Amino acid sequence: MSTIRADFSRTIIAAFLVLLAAAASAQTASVQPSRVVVAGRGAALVVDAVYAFPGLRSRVAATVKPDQGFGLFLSAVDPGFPAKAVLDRNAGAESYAATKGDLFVMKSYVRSPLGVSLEALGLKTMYVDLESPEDYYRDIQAIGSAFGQAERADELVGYYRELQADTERRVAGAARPRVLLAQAAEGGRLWEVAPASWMQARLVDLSGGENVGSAERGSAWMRVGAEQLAAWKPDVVIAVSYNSDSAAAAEAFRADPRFGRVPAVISGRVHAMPQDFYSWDQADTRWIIGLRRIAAFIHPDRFADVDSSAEARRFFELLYGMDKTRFDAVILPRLKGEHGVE
Amino acid sequence: MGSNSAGRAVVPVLAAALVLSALVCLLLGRYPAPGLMPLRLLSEDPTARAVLFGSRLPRVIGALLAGAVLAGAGAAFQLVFANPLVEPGFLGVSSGAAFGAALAMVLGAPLGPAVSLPAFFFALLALTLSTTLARRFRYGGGVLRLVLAGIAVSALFSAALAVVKYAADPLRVLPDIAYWTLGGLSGMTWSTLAYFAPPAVLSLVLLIVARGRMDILSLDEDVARSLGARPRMERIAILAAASLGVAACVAALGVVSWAGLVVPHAARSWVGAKARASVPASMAMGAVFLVLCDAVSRAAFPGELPLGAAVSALGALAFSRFLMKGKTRIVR
Amino acid sequence: MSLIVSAATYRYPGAPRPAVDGAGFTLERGRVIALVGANGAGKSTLLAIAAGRMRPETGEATADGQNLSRLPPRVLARTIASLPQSERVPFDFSCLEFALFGTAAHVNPFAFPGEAEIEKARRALGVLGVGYLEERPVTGISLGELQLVRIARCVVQDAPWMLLDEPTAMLDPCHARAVGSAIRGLAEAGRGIFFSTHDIAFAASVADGALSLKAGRVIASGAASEVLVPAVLEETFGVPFEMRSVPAAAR
Repeated sequence: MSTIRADFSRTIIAAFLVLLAAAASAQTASVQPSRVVVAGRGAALVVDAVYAFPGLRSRVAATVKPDQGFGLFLSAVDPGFPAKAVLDRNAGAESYAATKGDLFVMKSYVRSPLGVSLEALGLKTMYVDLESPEDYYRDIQAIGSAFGQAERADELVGYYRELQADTERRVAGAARPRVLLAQAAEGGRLWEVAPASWMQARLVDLSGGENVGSAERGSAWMRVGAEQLAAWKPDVVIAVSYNSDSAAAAEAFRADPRFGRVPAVISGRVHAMPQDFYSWDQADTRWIIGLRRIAAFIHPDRFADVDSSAEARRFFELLYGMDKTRFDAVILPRLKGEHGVE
Repeated sequence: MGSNSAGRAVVPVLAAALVLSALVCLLLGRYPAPGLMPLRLLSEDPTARAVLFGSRLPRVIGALLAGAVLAGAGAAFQLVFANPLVEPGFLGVSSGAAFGAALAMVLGAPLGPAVSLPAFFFALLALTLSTTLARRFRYGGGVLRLVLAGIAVSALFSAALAVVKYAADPLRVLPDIAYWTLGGLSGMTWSTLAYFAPPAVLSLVLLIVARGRMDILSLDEDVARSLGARPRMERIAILAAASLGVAACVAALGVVSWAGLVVPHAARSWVGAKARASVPASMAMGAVFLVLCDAVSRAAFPGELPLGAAVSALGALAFSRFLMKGKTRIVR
Repeated sequence: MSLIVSAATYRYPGAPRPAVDGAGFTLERGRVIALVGANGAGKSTLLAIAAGRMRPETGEATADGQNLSRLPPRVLARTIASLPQSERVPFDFSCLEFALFGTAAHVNPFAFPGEAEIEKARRALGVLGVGYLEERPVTGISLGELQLVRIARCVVQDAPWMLLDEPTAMLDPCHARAVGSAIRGLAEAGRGIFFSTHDIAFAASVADGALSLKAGRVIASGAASEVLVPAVLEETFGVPFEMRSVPAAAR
């Protein structure tokens, strides 16, 4: 008698647990969005982050035309990408609604007016910042939990944290050289520096450099005169370009007679920021390998034993599933600047 | 001329135009596809309902109000300054309002009356500066002085606005300001409308009530006074009422030019110059004009055009046509 | 029942001498007075003071004992109808609408003229002989016709006193004559009219009394037949005058 009761209660408990598990998974399955639209300005860099989750690639239904050069990175990662809808950069809420998306992901600063208008239509929105390392840790986790991909999120965050921590360890205690990170305009005739709140300045700081050239206030690249650039007396110069070759920009800086007395030029420490489809210094997933290279520019002695080639390959393999063949076919030909990859 | 020949037809035609344009624009858009929304979708698709009632309806109402305010203010300005080439934008009212709104946003004010009131204050300040400056100029005739003073004051406030933008918090406030400077109704939700509508409606009502005084104010100051008016005081009162509406528009939509210049010309050529008819006609025609421009801005292309682009393009075309056909007589 | 300007003096800021210096006159209802003087003699200033538009430094302008410069604009507009020499008309109001502006001081400030006012304006245009211009825009008529419409507007103001600054300045003899008979008619109807002019013959044919102004001072005043004579006029203008009579048809 007792064994039957015991069996019976075990069965009941088992059935209950199974039902619970089914209910739980059904719950998570039903709230998970299946048509994700990455919307608004800055969408290109957000999609790069979303695409770091392989499980999400098929769920992205539409995104915005990217406005940087270098062709479409995501088509190389995902052959299904060209079939996805591409919206105009200034598309209004109605165009987005017409995509029949069930979740609209966008940067916080696009909340007004786009996010607000989408919400007014009863559509679900999700905001990310992805502007600083801390943003990345927080937002990657948020994306992970929104889409039931917490494990993957942990994997990614762990990878980033490890590399960032290693960088900080290596530069700890070192004297901080004066570093200027500048974008070339008009082929190097003019130069612009980024605001102090942007990723570029954070990377220089994390790399153990003193960021001398940045706009204290302001929200856009700020044009700076040659005199001011020279007056900053940078020990290291990192030349950046978003629509052309950074190596050419670096060369223009070196060759410019106005900068003949700049310490970085004299000591030969003018570097070209690496780029593939996107430059590695901005608030894109690539910031981590950008950090490693910038740190190597600033403290070459402390990073002499680092295998930059392997690190770059690992990045693209871990985040975007690119093995050696794929990497050599897709990324390697597009690498510019001092990327350190063989 | 004018009033009697247009006569009975005016009111029904304008009313029909208002209703028709509002309805058509409600149905125009890019959901579910570019063009007119099929009506049956309203009963089937909750998103379609949300698009129509949550997104398009406040926008259409906002466009009608803004068009009426801008054109009505333009008509009032033109009469009161006795000059058909004047519009509120020229006299720095728009730039002043833009600066006031941006300043308020930078100081942390949420969108709403906290932004509209400073906008109004600086709009009036700009107006006062322009008119005072024009009186001090020793160059050119009356019109030229006003326009030059207006250019100077507009430039002053635009520069001030640039400084404010530079100082603004780049992540939160600045995108708000930058977007809103472009001009447009994409932010016109029900809650924005709740802040925009009261001063706009108040301005319209005040202008309608006061339009009986406007004709006489268009005459020489001596003559107006000999007819029993107090030109200086009445002019200021009317301009303040008009500026209230313009400032509310700028705070809600950003800077939109041309509507206040061209529409009153069209209205006058149809119903005559006297304010009794031309001011309400300007308001109605302005409403229709702007709601159509807004529909074009949001529906014609995959990306939303800034409203100012459509208005300026259509406005400039219409204005040139008017001048060429001689419908507008500008007497110095 | 008179419009009295007594010993008015006014100097414009920065001017070497006063524009009017102790000038004055008395205008009764039903009388017409003409003001003559050289350019710059102070005619427009005197008219402005008489109209209550300017307050003199000494002396005052009163109508039926009330000081004009203290009256509120609407009351003043119902008392004095003054017409400056010329004005700009930037918009194409119709002549009828233009004449209707004269009713502004009578009608409620925010209201519009009604049938009665429109009738009054029509009649005034008719009296001035420009009834046919009713629907024409004021920007589309000749300067002479515009002047007649302006005078009609003055008439519509229904004020007991009318002050006109050079009413016939732009007019050909035919239109000037129309103005002249209109003025006589208005005087007969009981209004007091004071006007300045360079047309001495016109003044002589229309006015009962006359005033001669030289360098801001009244050098002669009285009946038109006594003031508008060569001796006085030569003194006023500094050029020789000769008077000839023309047949009565001119009057």
